[in-house]
Amino acid sequence: MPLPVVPVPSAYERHLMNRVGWGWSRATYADLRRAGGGKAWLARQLRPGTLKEPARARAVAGPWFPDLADSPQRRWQRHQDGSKDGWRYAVDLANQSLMRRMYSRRQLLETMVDFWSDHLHVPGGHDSAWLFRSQYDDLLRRHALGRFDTLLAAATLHPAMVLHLDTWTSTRQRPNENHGRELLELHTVGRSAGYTEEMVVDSARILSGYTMDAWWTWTPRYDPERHATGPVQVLGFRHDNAAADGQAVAAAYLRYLAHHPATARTIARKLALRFVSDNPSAALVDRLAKTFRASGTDMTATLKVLFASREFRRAAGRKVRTPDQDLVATVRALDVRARAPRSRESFANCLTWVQPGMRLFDWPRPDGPPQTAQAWSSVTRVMGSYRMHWNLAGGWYPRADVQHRPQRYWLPARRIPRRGLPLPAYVDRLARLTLGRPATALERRAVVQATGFPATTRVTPDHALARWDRVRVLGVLLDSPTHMTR
Amino acid sequence: MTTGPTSVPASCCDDFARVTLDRRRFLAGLAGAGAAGAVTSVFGDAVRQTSYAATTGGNVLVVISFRGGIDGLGLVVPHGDPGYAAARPTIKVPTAALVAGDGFFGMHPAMQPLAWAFEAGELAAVHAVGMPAPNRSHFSAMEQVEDADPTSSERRGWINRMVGLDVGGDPLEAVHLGSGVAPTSLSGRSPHVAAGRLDEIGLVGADGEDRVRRNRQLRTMWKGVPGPLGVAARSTLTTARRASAVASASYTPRNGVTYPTAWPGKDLAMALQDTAQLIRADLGTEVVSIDFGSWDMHADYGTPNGGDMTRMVRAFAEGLDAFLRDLGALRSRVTVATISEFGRRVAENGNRGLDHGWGNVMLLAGGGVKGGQYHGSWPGLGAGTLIAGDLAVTTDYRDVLGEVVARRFPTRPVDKVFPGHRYRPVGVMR
Repeated sequence: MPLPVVPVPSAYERHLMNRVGWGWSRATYADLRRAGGGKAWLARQLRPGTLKEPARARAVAGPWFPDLADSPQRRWQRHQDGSKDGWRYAVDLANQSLMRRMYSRRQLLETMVDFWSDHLHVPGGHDSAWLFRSQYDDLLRRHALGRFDTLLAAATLHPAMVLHLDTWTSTRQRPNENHGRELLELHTVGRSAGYTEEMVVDSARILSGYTMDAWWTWTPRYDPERHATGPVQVLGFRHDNAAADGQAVAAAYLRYLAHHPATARTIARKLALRFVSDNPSAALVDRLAKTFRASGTDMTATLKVLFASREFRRAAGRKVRTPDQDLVATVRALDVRARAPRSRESFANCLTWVQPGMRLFDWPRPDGPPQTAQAWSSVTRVMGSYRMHWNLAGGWYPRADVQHRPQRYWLPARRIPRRGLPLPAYVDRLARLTLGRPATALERRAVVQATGFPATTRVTPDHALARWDRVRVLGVLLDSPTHMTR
Repeated sequence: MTTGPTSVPASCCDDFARVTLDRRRFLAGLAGAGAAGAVTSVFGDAVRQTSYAATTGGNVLVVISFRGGIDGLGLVVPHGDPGYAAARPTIKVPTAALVAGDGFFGMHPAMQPLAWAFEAGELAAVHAVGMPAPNRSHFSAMEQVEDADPTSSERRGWINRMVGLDVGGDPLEAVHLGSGVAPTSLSGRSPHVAAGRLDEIGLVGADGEDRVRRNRQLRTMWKGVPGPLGVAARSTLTTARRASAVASASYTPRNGVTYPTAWPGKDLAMALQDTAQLIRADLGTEVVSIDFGSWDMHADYGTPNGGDMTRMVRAFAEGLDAFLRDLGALRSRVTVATISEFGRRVAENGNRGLDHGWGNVMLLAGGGVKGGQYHGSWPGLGAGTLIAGDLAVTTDYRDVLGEVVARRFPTRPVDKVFPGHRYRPVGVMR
């Protein structure tokens, strides 16, 4: 039987996989075809609960990272007795999250979890919030495609955020302004909404009372003694805030902020930046903001409008992959399959070390990492990405408890002509497998330059190009504008 | 982005600062196994990298960050203040053991390897320095110290601003060594490089005879690609070529120097040796940043006879001593400054350690330093002068760094390096 041509998606389908999800992969393409095409696949992505997860994704979400189920109290105890240092939990969460993106069928859900992780940022290695960071991740996942008002209320009052932005230290006399300010500036209306410094203080006063028995039992609690009572006003929100228990005021305030028109613009702009381009049109942002408000802050409704827009459909290849997106896309492109980890050297436990740059969730400021080309186009990033591509393409690192595609995957010995596969056809096959599209003339030329083998070369199973030099061919395809953008 | 004071009891964060160290060690192991170690500091863009002409023979600033919050009172001991010994019954350094002392201050005995530099007038300390308000969270204090621009919400560090103030845009102007992740001080839009070792600033797959082919192939793939990524990819080839020419050359320290190779000083020593090599290569590097930790000694701080503090101070002193002697006459071009996110509590805690504090010490060594003396204004350790149990800050750390910038890089306006701060020279530089 002759070598069948590797099927590749249409440009639109490929765009969907790159933008809605975490990059082209053969598994996701198969999923898309089973669903009946791009539109049908997209519709199912918006209802992730209906997608049954494959075994590897289920293992990643639980059994492979048993320590992530440790309660904050147990984490603290293990950190204290030295059996598991705090920062190792942050490493576990980073590795788990990277692999969910690689192996989950719920590609859009994982994208939106990342979106909210950035927007409502709580660093994985924060001094104390690390204790609650996995719980917080669960929360973001639960609400990722639901209503923003519900998500905002839950995330703002979650112990991870209460610790991260210092609300837990607020007292009736001295409300800590940090959280009150970031809630307005970063999480909702933005600075252009025109709130005053007095409003920032009132924002902090409304949140005061949510606290924590920090450094001892780590029990979150609401303490009316710490709640600053008395009238508050933030933008159009007014309340007499007379009761010692301010939880109802906080709930009403967060609902008000979630539905504020300026918040709609904040979220709409950020969605367009993530899914469309670094410079989305004002018209698109307006449309998204309108849908967001009209739907009662419903994310699924807003995303439907976004995905149906012409601007989205025409935006293929315009976004630079961030370093973590690059890593996830590379594992997917090469179809590298993690196995159950058995030690710290296992692939599943080392992924974060191969990621160029900062560990996932480690951005050291409350604003969350940027998503623009400008921010991720440095010489060091390029060097680091190339190195990561080669480590994975060569199967060099991480190499324990992982399955790399065997030689016959790239060059099926029994299906090629006895004289070997012509080099251009070999490059084309590798491009289809890794990039989800045929090779370009430029790539064929670059492979000749990279390897020193002429275009007339016939690649047989014992040829250098099929063996130790295959990494050079893959290097051409991965160290490329196509792979490093989405 | 404001952060109020938080109280942080013992052992909240022993391992926080160890993270980078662990990762670095991990990668060093990898590189040893030939598995390609460097990761990258990736934040920032390369748009401005297109054209540059390296300024050679210029001054160099080496910034060593003591991660985890070093105990400034133990590094440079105010033995003349009775409050010091009183607050530290089990961990104090006896006055008789101090080196490079004067009537009031003296250095930790493990600083002995650097005593010559103090006596030669090439090493100085500034005491009671820090941020204008206490911030006792490692996480946000580091960010605040290194971003050092309250006027902007852009994430851009002071070193990044400083190297961005010239016409060039060479990534090798600002280099972080010892880890592939640049600290906040270097991060931002001006080009910079971060790598575990000097030889990791380069291209994978471009060793030996493959170098020419690899470069040609990448030129083909990235030619004419628009946008910041295309610029960065093309600039990468130039940077890799220039850096690898240095890194592939063998380096023999001068003046009979041998850099320490034992834990815990090895990482620092290797980074300093790479720095010396980089400075000798004269590629136009202006700032080198190196992290050295962990100093987060909440428990079992130790005494001059042994323990964490003595071990770490000795590692630092031996490394810096080797570096300064290796540089020899080149020292006139090179200034070293140390910094840390905060100092530590004056009084020891129940675990014979020290919790997070405020006021701290900075060391300055090398070219242009008014050495052989202790600078700053001492606020005292009396009960009435401590701030929540901490040494008060009388000198803004930006004034110390600002003076180094003003004297050694006179074309860089200090108010552009440290916006929103009114610069007042301390008198630590000639």
